[in-house]
Amino acid sequence: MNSLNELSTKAKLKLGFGVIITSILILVIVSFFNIAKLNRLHDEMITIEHLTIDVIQFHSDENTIDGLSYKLLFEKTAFGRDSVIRLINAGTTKLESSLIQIDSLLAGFPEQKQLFQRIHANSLQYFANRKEYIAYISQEKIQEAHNFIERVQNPLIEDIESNLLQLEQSLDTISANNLKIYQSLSETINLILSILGLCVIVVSVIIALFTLNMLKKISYEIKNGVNVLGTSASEILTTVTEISTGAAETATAVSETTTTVEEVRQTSMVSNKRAQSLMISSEKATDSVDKGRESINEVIVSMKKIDNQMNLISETVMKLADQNHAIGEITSSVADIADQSNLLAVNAAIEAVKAGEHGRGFTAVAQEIRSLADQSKKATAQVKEILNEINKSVNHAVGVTERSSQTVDEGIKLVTQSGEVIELLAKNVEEAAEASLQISSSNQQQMAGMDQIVPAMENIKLASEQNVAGIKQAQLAAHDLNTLGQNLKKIIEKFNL
Amino acid sequence: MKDEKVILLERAKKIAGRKDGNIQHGDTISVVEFLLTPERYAFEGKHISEVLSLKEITSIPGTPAYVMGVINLRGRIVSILNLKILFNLKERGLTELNKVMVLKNDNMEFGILADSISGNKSIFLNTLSPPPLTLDNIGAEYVSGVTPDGLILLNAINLLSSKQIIISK
Repeated sequence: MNSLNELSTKAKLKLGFGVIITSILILVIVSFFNIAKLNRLHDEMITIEHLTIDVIQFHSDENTIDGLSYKLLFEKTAFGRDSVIRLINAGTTKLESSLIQIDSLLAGFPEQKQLFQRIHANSLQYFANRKEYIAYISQEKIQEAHNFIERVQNPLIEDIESNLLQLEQSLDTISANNLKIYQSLSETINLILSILGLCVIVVSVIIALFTLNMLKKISYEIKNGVNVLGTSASEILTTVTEISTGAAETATAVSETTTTVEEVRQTSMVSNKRAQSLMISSEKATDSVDKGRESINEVIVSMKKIDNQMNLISETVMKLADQNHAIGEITSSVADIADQSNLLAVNAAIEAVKAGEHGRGFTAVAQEIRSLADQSKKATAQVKEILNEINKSVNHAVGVTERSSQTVDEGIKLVTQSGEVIELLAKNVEEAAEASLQISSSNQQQMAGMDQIVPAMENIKLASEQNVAGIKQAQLAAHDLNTLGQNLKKIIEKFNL
Repeated sequence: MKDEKVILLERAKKIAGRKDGNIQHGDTISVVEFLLTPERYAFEGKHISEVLSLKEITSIPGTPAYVMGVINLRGRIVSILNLKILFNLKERGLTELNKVMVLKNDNMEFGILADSISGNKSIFLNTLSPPPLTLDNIGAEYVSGVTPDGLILLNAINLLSSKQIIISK
């Protein structure tokens, strides 16, 4: 049994159906065989029936003709005879045909055929003799005819009759035998057929159950598969719908992009023009910058000259200050002298006082010296003041010079800064010029790119349109798939195994 | 501008001088005026040996505070005194103290530090007023009197013979 289970379903099915088919075949063959037998038997029986009927008919006809022949004896009228003769001829023809027929029918029965040969021969003889008889009748040799019948035909008829009876009996026997055979055969056939039928039924039931089970499984699988199919189909449908919308959006985006590209192109052209004008402006700016640079250089040179002058002034002023200082020192010494003169005068006065009378004249001298000293002091004081003034002026001048120098330095710084600024400006202008050149060239490239983009966009548009059509088809297909799934589901539910 | 100021100042002084005093008759003495900032002092001329600028002063350790030091006056060693310290006068303002008046009598000789020597003056004895009571005793001893214009006449004789200034051995 295990090996039986291990076989694949296909093999099992093949085996099962093979068994069924084989058994059916056997059944059929046996049936055919037996039915053929039965048929043969049946045919034989029918043949024999036909034969029997024919023989009996023949017998009867023969008797009729015989009767008619006798009747002929008693017909007086020619018309009557003719009609009887006609009847006899008709009958004879019929008998002859019957003979032939029976003969053919007796093909399968050699014994009987042999028997019939004699009948046949006798009948033929009889018919042949009849002509003679009819001749007799027509010649109105009735007694001869009657004698003929008595002498010739009757023995023939009797022979025929006995043979016919024999034949009929043998045919009956055959028939009875055949019937028995038929019955036994039919019984046998019934038995065999019922056994075989039962076997076939059992096997069929087993196989049907097995097939049912398998179908159940299969249908279950199919159901699952159909469910999966259904879900997948609906998923595909949704996805396809999404893709469809996405494709539609792509199409709109593409057309937007095309318009944008055109706009960009226009902008590019405008930008190009601007870049050109920028380049021209840059050139002008560069010229101005060069001029600026020259001016600044000149200014710096002038500033430096001023600075030199300032330095010279400073030096001169320094010299002046030194000389002032020298004068101051001299003045100090003069003041010193005045001071000492004063002291000297005082000393002189003291000595004069000490000298008393003799010292009066000396007092005057002392006074004079004193006044001289005072004058010197005053002069010195004045000179000091003037020196102070000069010093102040000198300091002021020095201060001014220094401030001027500082201013000049600041000026130089500013100018240098301006110079640097101008340099920067020049650089910027150069960069601007370069940039404008780059802008111009990149604009060219951009326009070329745009020219390339436009046909590409057209292609994308076409592709997306095709996409949209394709998606629509896919959508239909998915829808169909979905409906198919639904249908399958319904079918499976119908076949609820 | 400054000349004008000077002239005006001199005129003011002259006018001020005329207001203060009439021409007095009587005994006059000749004094030498000097400045000890901020006050003006004077000694009688006959007690003054000489006046000179202070060049080098050598300080002597172990001497009283009012003895600034000694100088070499043409070979002689003369001690220098600071009246401000001697009279306990408060220091007021910056002082130069670079002039020396040499006081001399038969026994004693020393120099007095001064900020500046103003010069000879003649003052009338009868214009002198007695010293103010605010000066302390030391000062009162050596002050002869005060002139109308605030000149303090110091008594050189008393100063020269003062026992206080003799450094005890």
